[in-house]
Amino acid sequence: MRTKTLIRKELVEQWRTRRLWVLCAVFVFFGLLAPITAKLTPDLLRWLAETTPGVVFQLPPPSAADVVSQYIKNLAQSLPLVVLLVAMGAVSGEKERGTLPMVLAKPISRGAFLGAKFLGLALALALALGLCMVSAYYYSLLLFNGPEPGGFVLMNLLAGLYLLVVLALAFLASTLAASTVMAGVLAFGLWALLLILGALPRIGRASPTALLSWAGRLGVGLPGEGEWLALGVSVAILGAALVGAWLHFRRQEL
Amino acid sequence: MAGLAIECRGLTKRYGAVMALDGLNLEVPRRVVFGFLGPNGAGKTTTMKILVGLIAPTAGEARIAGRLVSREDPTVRRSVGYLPEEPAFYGWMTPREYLAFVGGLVGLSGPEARRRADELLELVDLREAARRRIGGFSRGMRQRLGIAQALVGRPEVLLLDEPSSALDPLGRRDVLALIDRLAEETTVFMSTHILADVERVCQQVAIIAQGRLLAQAGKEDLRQRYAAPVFEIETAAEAPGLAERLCSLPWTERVVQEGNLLRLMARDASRAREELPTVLGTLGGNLVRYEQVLPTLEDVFVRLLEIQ
Repeated sequence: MRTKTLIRKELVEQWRTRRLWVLCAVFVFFGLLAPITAKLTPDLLRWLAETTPGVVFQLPPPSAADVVSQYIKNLAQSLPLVVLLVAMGAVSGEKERGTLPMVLAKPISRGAFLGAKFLGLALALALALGLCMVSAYYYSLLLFNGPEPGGFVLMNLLAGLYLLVVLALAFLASTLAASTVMAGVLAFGLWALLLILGALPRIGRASPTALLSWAGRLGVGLPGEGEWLALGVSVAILGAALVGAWLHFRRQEL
Repeated sequence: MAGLAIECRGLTKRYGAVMALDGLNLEVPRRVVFGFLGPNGAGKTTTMKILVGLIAPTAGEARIAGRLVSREDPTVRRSVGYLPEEPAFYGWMTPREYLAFVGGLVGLSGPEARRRADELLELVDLREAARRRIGGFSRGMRQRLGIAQALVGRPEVLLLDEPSSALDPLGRRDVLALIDRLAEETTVFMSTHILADVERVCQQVAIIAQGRLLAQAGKEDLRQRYAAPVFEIETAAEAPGLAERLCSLPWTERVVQEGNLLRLMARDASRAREELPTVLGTLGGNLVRYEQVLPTLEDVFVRLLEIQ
């Protein structure tokens, strides 16, 4: 009952404060942007070539693969920033506003409080990503006959796991930091570390960023080995971030 | 011991080199309004926070309604309602929603929580604001809502941290009247540095300073035990040098002057009664009145802090 009350409050809060609307709108925007960009880029380049003497562009006709490529780029670069912005104030914001003492003075455990907060954010992320996926797929269907649906869904599941890792890191930062600004800086730092590790030759294969290249391959129906190590590491980072947040928060003096 | 609402044994809290609580021992009986008095920084808020599990003591233990307080065990908090010094709410909620939310946290079902929310809105006189967002509430309304949220689970012990210190006179009057009414149902443990509030609503008082308990007793008991006999002397016009003259007398402990009114705390009441008329006789027509009055809690408070 108590945990249900906390989860319900998180969801209602996201709805009423319009955080959920904004999150969904931004995700849908980037979802729609992928097929539109794939469709318009050759036209733009052709126009550029026509207006610039001596420039010739030779481009293959755009396809669903271009949509997937653009979509993955958005998921890798822009949407994690949105996730960081949404999650960085989850706990630190409550600390700053002073709303925590009255809630935590009730007969609820700190673990239940954190769990409900994370679950609320994860559900919002799932909804936003779902809408992003549907909008991108629908427009791809209209413009390019769409990518193969099974692969596209699997691609989104893997990308969703990547975003969930980013969310968990931002949530950890929000629990550790005393202010939302500090949480934002820390969360961005953790994400940057993830990107740096992902760019390293050997370690990169085990980094959550490797999930995105796997997701991209699945999206265009390319065969290839799965990045199972990256999947395992991602789940481990996710778990470690949540356990870390809980271990810190249960002893935090408020 | 089972009859105590709150019991602290050697409660200690250290922040680095700062000792916020220094082995505090406290026993609060049930069904009283208990004033927890002390100057700023005495350790009142720290004690409150330990009692609701927001911070952990460095040493010692605290019990509420016989159950050991622990941050890890939320069940003890079923017996406690808590109002922090500056209650902060989710501004996007209405007071009814907030109270129903708290109802869910204390284990009430949805309909029970909504019913309890309506009862409490009535009690704290916020029924007409039930559908307004808390974000637009005044300080006094927030304070009353804060008391209401502390009462949702019908707690055995209500902890109020400075419930009236930031309110205007009307807000203060309302909150104190509410506390007065609550004493019939629950134990109210109220920290404050406003002595007039304690005089008005509390039956028992503990005074702390620098994290240590200085005294604990019933209000009257405290006056008798710790306050020096007090004489009030009123003059028609200011009497230059009178305060200094009274201060120099061997049986005078302290003289406080507020305009034409002097309060004399005597070390020896019988000598003061004998000799004061002679001293005041020199004032002639300037003397309006002099009388022995009951010492106030402020007299006790100041005296204890001076002794300490």
